[in-house]
Amino acid sequence: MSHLLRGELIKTVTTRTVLGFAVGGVAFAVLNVLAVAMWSGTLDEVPEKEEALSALPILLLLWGLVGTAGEYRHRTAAPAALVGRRHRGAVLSARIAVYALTGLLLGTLTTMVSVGLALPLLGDHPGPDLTSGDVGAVVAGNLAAFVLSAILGAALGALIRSPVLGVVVLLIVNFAVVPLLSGVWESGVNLTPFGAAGILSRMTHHTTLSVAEAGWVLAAWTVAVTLVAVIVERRRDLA
Amino acid sequence: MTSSRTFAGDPAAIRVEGLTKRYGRRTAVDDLSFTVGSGRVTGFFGPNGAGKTTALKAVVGLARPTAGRAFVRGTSATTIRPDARLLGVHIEPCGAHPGRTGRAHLRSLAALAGLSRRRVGEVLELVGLEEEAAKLRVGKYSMGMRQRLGLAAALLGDPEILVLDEPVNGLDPQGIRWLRTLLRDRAANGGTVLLSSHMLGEAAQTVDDVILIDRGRLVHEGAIRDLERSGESVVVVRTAEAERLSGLVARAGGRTKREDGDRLLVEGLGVAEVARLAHRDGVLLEEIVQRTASLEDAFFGLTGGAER
Repeated sequence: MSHLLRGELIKTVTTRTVLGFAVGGVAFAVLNVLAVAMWSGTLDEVPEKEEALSALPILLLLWGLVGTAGEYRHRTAAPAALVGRRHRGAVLSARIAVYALTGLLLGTLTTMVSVGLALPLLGDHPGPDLTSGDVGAVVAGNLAAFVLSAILGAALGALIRSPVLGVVVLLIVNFAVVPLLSGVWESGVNLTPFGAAGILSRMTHHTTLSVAEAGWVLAAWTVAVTLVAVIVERRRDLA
Repeated sequence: MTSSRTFAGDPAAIRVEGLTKRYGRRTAVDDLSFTVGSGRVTGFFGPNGAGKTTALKAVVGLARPTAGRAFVRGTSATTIRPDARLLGVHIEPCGAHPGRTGRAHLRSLAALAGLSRRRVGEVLELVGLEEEAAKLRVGKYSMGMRQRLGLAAALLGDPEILVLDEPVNGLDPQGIRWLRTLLRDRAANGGTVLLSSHMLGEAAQTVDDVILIDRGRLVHEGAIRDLERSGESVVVVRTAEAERLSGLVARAGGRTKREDGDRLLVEGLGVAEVARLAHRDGVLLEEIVQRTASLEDAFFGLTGGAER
């Protein structure tokens, strides 16, 4: 399995896509900190301050989706499957694991930027300061959300197999389906991957789910979609 | 190459039995059966859209057959453990990300295959991709360079069996000659090559055996020499005494046809027999030559391609 991980890692880091997502992630982190800590008024509660440290897990969902779907778009999945010495499901599992690892690295980078920029700015706000425990919990939640989102995105990419279609579907679900669901069943949104990732990364607070519960919800989605993707990968043709 | 490697007891390198592949209502490959012998270069020919690539994908395990089976060294292609040392595959396009360099593409495949990084340099040199070219992103490659990169990927594991889809596409004459030599050398050392092409004339110089398909069905399988012989040859004779020679040929059991005034086409007799008849009866021949039907003629005859 280690040879599959090594090969997939080489593939992942030898295009400029990873650089683009790293820059995008850092840019979003900076914008989020400025928007929450400087432009949204007074933050006098811990959850509000935690929001300044939150990241955007959907970015990692996109990272996994675009990267894995691109394997089929550029027909790079077939040569990998032909040399991997394991069945296609194992090759895809290795690919998803590499997206989890790179998701962790990208998440660490953006979270470090968020924390480094936000903590000095949050010191100017009234109310209780964030303890190191609070910050650690937010960082852990963010990293978990990033890794799970990257895995979920990679699994979705393997199922959808088209980066453009995948991104369109993702945007429609995030910006149309989820708000519609929210209108019908508000707490139901928390059970979607987007809602759960938002709670886990502290973008949303005061919800019906605890952070830990949101983590389990997102993990359940991730495991289920990944299993489906691996099973389907073994049965479908490769172009 | 390490030709002594064997993977199972099947004497055939590749065996296809009743392979059918349908996409919705369209049947791309229809009940196709053939065998690829070990140590041979086998050409897999057919017109565009005949189902060659689909059949090759089923042979290497990328496409699942709707019916029938394909075996590589006796193991079903759907269950075989992919191994770059057993099977090297190049199916167009080359399967490299346009944003990745050629070298990085090969490095990733070598790692996936459990091969050493050194092998990347070896195959790059083997296919004639210079160091500078290997550092370029694949998106900037010419078609010939992509083709060479695809071949390099197929050769990474120094495989026992090579399956190549239209390998001469985009190669310049030097590249075609290089590939021909490479494939012949591999066969001479016990390797097996299955290559598809729609350019029979070019590939015929490389192959030992021929599998010809049309509309997804097998129309001919055998040695290339048999295919060459299957095209009917004629003896072309130029003489001022065409009428007299026609009579002699008819009495000897042959048939004649007039072509371009004094030129006579003789069917059913060899050039030596025609010359002997003319000599015996004192018919002066100004020219006598055997015209062999080309492989393309045989190809069109078998596929009906000339009428399309």
